[in-house]
Amino acid sequence: MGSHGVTGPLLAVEGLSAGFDTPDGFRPVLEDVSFTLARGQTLALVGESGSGKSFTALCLLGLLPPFGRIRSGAIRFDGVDLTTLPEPELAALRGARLSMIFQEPASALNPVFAVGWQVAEAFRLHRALTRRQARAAAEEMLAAVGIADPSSRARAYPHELSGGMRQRVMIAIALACDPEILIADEPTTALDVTVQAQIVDLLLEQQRRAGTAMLFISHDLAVVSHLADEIAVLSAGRIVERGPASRVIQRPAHPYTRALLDATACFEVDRV
Amino acid sequence: MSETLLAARGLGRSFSVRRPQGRPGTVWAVRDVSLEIRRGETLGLVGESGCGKSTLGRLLALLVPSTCGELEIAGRSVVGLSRRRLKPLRRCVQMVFQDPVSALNPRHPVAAILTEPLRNYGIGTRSERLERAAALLEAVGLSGTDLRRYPHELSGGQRQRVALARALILDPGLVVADEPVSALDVSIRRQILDLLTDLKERFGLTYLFIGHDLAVVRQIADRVAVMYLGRIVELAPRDRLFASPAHPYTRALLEAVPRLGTGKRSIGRALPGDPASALDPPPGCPFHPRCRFASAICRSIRPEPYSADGIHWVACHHADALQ
Repeated sequence: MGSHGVTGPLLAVEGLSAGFDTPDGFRPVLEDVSFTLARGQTLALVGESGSGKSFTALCLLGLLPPFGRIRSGAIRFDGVDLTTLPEPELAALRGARLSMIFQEPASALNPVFAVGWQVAEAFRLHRALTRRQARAAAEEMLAAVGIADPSSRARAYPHELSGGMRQRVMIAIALACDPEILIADEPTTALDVTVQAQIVDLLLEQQRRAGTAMLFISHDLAVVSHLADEIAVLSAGRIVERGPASRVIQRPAHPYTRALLDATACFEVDRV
Repeated sequence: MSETLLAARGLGRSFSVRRPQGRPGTVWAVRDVSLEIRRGETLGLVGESGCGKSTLGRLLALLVPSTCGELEIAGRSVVGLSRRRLKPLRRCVQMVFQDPVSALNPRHPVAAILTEPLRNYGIGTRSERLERAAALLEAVGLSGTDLRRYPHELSGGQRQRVALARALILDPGLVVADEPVSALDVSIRRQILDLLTDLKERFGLTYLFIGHDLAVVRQIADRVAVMYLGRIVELAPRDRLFASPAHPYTRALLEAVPRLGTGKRSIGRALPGDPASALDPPPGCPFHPRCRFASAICRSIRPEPYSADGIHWVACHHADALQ
């Protein structure tokens, strides 16, 4: 795993401030955000839209949109500060050691390539596999994320698959190179509850099997409570509360967390 | 309370599609649906995406004509009516859509959005229409000064309030709300649900509330219908349905709802696979390929909706044994 062999958290975000350069000056999106993620653990980043959850993920991957900029702070991944890493080295990390799945699989997948090709691309880019080897590895990966009949599904285009199946394909791409950290940005929000339950199982299983650390971004505290070891609550670009998942859910300390919990329409723990 | 506002019998809607191989085919988005909506109630309609719940909502809102079956609104049959005869009935049923961004014309100010239905029906003078629009804006928690604003100047919650005001401006009896809070933030959701409840009492409304989120539907519905592959598989009073679901599909849906404070583990027993394609529905019970209770009869004979008490309807061969 980590070639640097540094003890301590796999990922440590320290005092991250980031935002956009505008004609009227710098507009912050994140202010002084700090958190850590240990190997094999899941940290959930929770908040409403516009709170900066997705922006945090984009900072980690060095994928900020035009005019987006990290102003200060550090993102230490296995001891290396990603904010100072040159783009070619970052590109080598992305999709290999750090990967991401997005909310909307329909727009994250390329509509003009068969899904098998898109999974194989990860192998071709990061593992020097031949086309044929990459194709075989892609089919194995599709099978691993629970896609039945992977060799024929690999030839399907995204529009020919259901939403749940597309999300599985995206997870297959993200997990292809066995990343150390998987960033999942609202991966189940666009899905039906039954499919959401399947995807949650898939993520739990991946972590059990491979020890993948996860940054799970969501607005849904009920889903989060099935996945997270720790929860960090973001509000207007600041982390207002952070702690073990059970503590944050059962004894929220910050009024915003309490409000978020109150607003979450959900079934109680007692079974119907 | 128990007066029937809307009654559907054997309602169906098919669409012609091109199959992947290029041959034409037929999809029954809604098939053989019979239900009643009583004046003053909120009927929840749940199911996975693609099950036909939106199409059923549009059928009942008279936005798409049915292919077969009967539909009565306030005791009048609407099947086969001409556009002209249908128009006065359309006033009785209005719709609220999921995405308030695409539901509102970005080039029209709120005033034009709200008064358009009145102009369409030739109601009132210009100033009367504006007055009515302002009154409704206040009823949905906005102010008369918002009439001049454009949709892009409003937040998501405010836009959904405008969409609600537009639905109410013709004084409809029935509002079909198709996932009205799914596109909103959790904190805004609660506000809009409270508003829906408040408006229902103030204007004596009846709702068909379509949703995929069972926790939300449980908050607002009096009765709940569960749809699968175009058919209603279970219909029961809210508390009955959530406390003792009879159909295996309803059970699976309830088990799949995430719960707060469970600790790190699976969400119930995940239902395997995806729904069958509506292009090639399986023979027998549409749910049998994913059902863990399926037996020989389920694979060959489609179960008809059945109720022992006239209140709790279920279409399952094994419903009695399962309960």
